[in-house]
This record gives sequence, C-alpha cells and structure tokens, in this order.
Amino acid sequence: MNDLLTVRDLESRFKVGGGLKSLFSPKTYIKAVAGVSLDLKEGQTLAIVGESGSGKTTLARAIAGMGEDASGEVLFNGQNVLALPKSDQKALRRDVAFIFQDAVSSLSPRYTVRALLLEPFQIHGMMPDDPDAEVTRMLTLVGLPATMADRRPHELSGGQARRVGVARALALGPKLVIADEPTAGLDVSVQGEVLNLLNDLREKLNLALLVITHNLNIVRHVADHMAIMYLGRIVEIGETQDIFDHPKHPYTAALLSANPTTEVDVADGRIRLEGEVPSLLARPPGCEFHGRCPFARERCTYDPPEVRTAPDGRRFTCHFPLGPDGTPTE
Amino acid sequence: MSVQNALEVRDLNISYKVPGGKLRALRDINLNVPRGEIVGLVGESGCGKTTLMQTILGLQSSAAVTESGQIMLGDTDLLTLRPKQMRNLLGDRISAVFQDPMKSLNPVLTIGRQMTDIQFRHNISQREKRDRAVEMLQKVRIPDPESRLDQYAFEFSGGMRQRIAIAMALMAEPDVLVADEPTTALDATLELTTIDLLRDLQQDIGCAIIFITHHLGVVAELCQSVNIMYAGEMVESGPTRAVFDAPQHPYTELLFNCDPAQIPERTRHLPTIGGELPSLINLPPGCVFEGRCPKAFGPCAEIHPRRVQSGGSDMVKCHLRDPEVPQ
Repeated sequence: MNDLLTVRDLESRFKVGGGLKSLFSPKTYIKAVAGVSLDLKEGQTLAIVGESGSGKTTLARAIAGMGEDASGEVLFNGQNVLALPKSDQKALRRDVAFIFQDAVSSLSPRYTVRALLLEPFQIHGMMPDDPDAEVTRMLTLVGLPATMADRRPHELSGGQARRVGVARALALGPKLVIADEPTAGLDVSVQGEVLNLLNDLREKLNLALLVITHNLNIVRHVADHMAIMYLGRIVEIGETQDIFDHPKHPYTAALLSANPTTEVDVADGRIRLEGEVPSLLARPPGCEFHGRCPFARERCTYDPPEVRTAPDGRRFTCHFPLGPDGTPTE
Repeated sequence: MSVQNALEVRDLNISYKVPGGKLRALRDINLNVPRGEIVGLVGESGCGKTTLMQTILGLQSSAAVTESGQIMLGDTDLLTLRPKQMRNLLGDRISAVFQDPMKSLNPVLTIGRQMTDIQFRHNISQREKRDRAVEMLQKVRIPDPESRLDQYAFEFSGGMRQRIAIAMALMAEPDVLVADEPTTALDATLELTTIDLLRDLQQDIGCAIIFITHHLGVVAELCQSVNIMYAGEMVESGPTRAVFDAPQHPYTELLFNCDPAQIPERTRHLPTIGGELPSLINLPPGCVFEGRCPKAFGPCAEIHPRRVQSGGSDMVKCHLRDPEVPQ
C-alpha cells in the first residue's frame, strides 16, 4: 500500500504584531507548526493529539492546502500541495475534505439539507443528472432518512448535523478526510455514533482519515496511528496501541496518565507536570519540554533532541526516552 | 430550605416560546447544592443543562418563560428578584466560569485592570485591590503575578487563562460557583491541574460548585454527588461513587457504558444509545426515555415515573425502581 499522504518538515507560521510599531521593527513570526513529518496510507486512521494551541488545526489546514505561509513538503498522491498553482487547488479540494469542529455553525442556516448536500457539486461544476437521487444516496450513506432532505440545520440534532457535515465532506468522493475535533461538545453516546460512522465509511470507501482531537479515550479506539504534538512539533508518533502501552516521551506519558477516569485509585501513579506551557514567541532552548519534564537533566536544557526512531518504527524526540517501567532507560 | 444547602432548585419548570407551541425545556427540576460540596451535572447536549445554568445565573434568553419553581440561595428566591437585585448578587454570592476563557476575559484590558475592576463593591484603595489581585493569582499558581498583572489575556496560555478566570470568579468568595465545562478546551495534563486547583480553592474558600461537564471521568474524580439530566428532566441523582458503581436509571447505565474510557479492550465499534430524543414540544405522556430504553415495559409508555429512592441513589425516576409499580 502506498502512502497517500507524506508530510516532510512542514512549517506554518503567522505574523504577529501590527500597527505602527511594525513599520519600524522587523516582523516577528510565530511558528505554529515547526517541522512536522508524518505519513498516512489509504484506509488508515491517524490521530493527532495535543492541547489547544499546540498546532493541530494549523497542521491540518496546511495539509489541506489552506495553510498560511507554509513551507516544507506535503505530498498528496505524489503531488506537492504547497507548490500547487491556484488553478489546481480546486481539484485538490475534491480529494481532501474537511469536517469542521462545530457542525451546526458550519452549515448555512438558510439552506435546506438538500441544498447543503448539493452545494459541493455546484461549486465544482459536477452537478449529478439526478440530484434528488444523489441526495438520497448521500443521506443513506450516513444513516439518515431521505426525508431529512427538506430540513434546515436548526431542525437537526447535534448528531444529525454532524452526519450532514460528514455527508457533505464525502460528496465528491475524497480520498482523505480531515476531521477537526469531530466529537467536541458531544456527549458520549452521540460521540460513539459519529465515530462509528466515520469508521464504517473509512472501511467502505477506503478513506484515509486524519482525526484531530484532545480526547485520548477515543483515540485508543479509532486510530491505527497517533501523533502527539507539543508546541507545534510532533514529540512522538507511532502505532496507537504501542504508544498507549509504553509511551517513550515523558509528555506522552504524562498525557496518558492524566486522563481522568471513573476508576477508583488510579490517581496515585500519575505523572504531574509542573510549570506552564511556554509561549510560542519565546521557545525554550534545548528540549522545549524540559521546563515541565519530571525527568529533565542538564543536557535537556541546552541540547535540542533529534528525532529518533525506535526498532518498532516509532519516532520520538527525547534524549532520555522512557522504558517499559515508565522511567528513563539511559 | 435545608440549612446545609448553599443553593436549592425546587420543582423548576422553564419553557421557550417557539413557533408551533411551547418547548418545555426544563420540567420539575430539583437540584441540591450542599455547602462546600462539588456537585456534578451531566447530560447530553440539548438536555437543558445550559438553560438550568442560565436560569440560576439570571441570564435566560428573552424567549424563556419561568412556569413555576424556586431557586433558593439562602433565604432568597432568585426567581423573584428584580434584574438590579440579581446583578448585585452576581459576582458576589454567585459566580461563573465558562468554557472558553478567551471569550470571558476582555482582550483589550490588562488582567490587572480586570481584576481590580471587579472589586468595585469593595471600598478599598486601588493599591489594596491590586494586592488582592496578586494574592488571588498566586492562589491559582500563576508564576510572577506582580508583573503579569500588566499583561493581556492573549499573553497567557490556555490553562493560565482558565485559571485567571477561576481566580476572578472566586475573588469575591461566592457561596456558589457555576462551572460550565471549564476544562473542555484543555489537554489532559492541564485538565488535571485545573481540577486539582479547583478542588483546593473550593476547600480553601468553602464555596459550593456546580460542575457541568460531558466528561464522566472528571465527575468521578471531582464531584461528591452527581445529577444526570435527560431531555429536560433530572432522571437520577446521588453520591458519585454510589451512582457510578450501581446506576439505577437505565439511561445512566447506558451513558456510562458508552464512555470510551470504560471499554478496556480496543474496539472499532463504540456502543451508542439508539433512537432519538423525544420532542419537547409534544412530550410523550410516559417516561421521556421510554422510546430508547431497552428495559421499557408495561407502564413506561403511559405513566410518567415518579421520583423514588433506590440503591445508592437519592433519586431516580424509573418505574423499574418504584416498589409500587408491579414489575
């Protein structure tokens, strides 16, 4: 199976500051995504995990060719998305679809579900011969009754609105679907419904799925691979089950152990992080995590760790990776 | 009103005027918030959590009609207060922390300015107000608070912003703090720190907290008691441990089973609760959960269940648990 998506050293930056001052002083940028590399195959799911502000959404936008000031390489089907001329970007939109976080507000309140579902075809000048049949087909695909076609977004429940969002994303037969926090704000039962749907469709249509989330509980169930982001960099990436079993990066370990559960007495073995998340304007020297890392040593404060690859293919950036017992091995 | 309760909601009925009739958003809601306790409020989107919170804070939308009920804060029924009186209570005896701290902090004023401004009720000098702001920032573990007072909200990280919002809400040492999904935007490590902090501050100040969330794990770790809402009704409430160990209402049980954190084995197919929420405009005569309940039987479709005490739960609305209903 070939990689559908290959990302190498992707950077995306934003200009900060403005007003009069910016006329006289050099421009300052923050790197929201700083050198990210990842691969995604057809029919697979990759979850990107990290706190708000860690660059997850910026990364996704850059992959979809919507990034601002992005550099590096995003190869989609062998073609560099970042170097695409404007005229070809529309074609890319057919292959890479986005499911937005807030399903209800991503649907125009003035449109009926039918109009919403036909909009992608209209934009791309691909209107099907029998629009009604197409709408029915799409609604059935996402498990909604055909009678939904006449409703407007406010008449849909949260779960239904998300299904319509999914149907819209799938309208033009994309190969890659990027779902930005597909379950944020949903309660657990509706959350399962949306994830099951995405998963079924992934199987049926052989889609590659990129899921952005900070909900670790769902990652474990839906993703083949996961990447953990911190300050715009991937600190660990590999097979989900491996990472859950033996996290190598201390941030991953802290993240996994902090996950609140309904079990009694798990709180004892937790790794508690001290300190604050550094600002992107003042990235710390050395390992950017050292200020909060419970295992940081002197070397971490000045020597930025390289990306290392474990025998099982897992990549991580840490000088002193954790062993199976949860303490640094070296 | 019982003396131990900081806040008590009694038989609250709220509806919205909508084209085609009345949408009965909250029906016979009872909620006890004991002094110095953290009370969890759980329920899916659209179950009325937000309406309940808005009503407690006196921030209902203009389409909301209070049909009946009382919200007692001490001896005061909040629903009988005039807007001005209500405003005097807000930020003094009742405070709130919302989901998105960036939206609840003013982006064009410094944190210090905002933190001194909200002390407008106190007749103390500007210097003293500033000192109090520093002290409060220290309590929420913001490093170097003195100099950070002159910074703006965007200069803080997400976790810090939420802690500043918490500091501001607790500044007046309120009796009741309403926290509406305050940790949803944070990652697991920051969520944990925020929860720890909230628990410490709560013990320090002794206020009661109503904690609204989707995250069952957070409820289990933080709250002494839990209230489960479904389609505008309170279907179960009781001590957290008892309810989590042996849920009495079928909805509670299904909700817990759906939590992906509860499933130890990796699965591609997550459990869900089938069916749809009932219409709140044309309510079914029986139990609101009947259409989706796998255990529904004889009386469920026709008769509305009454409140009973069952198992470890203080209140459950289900015919299955009602000793007077023939099983």
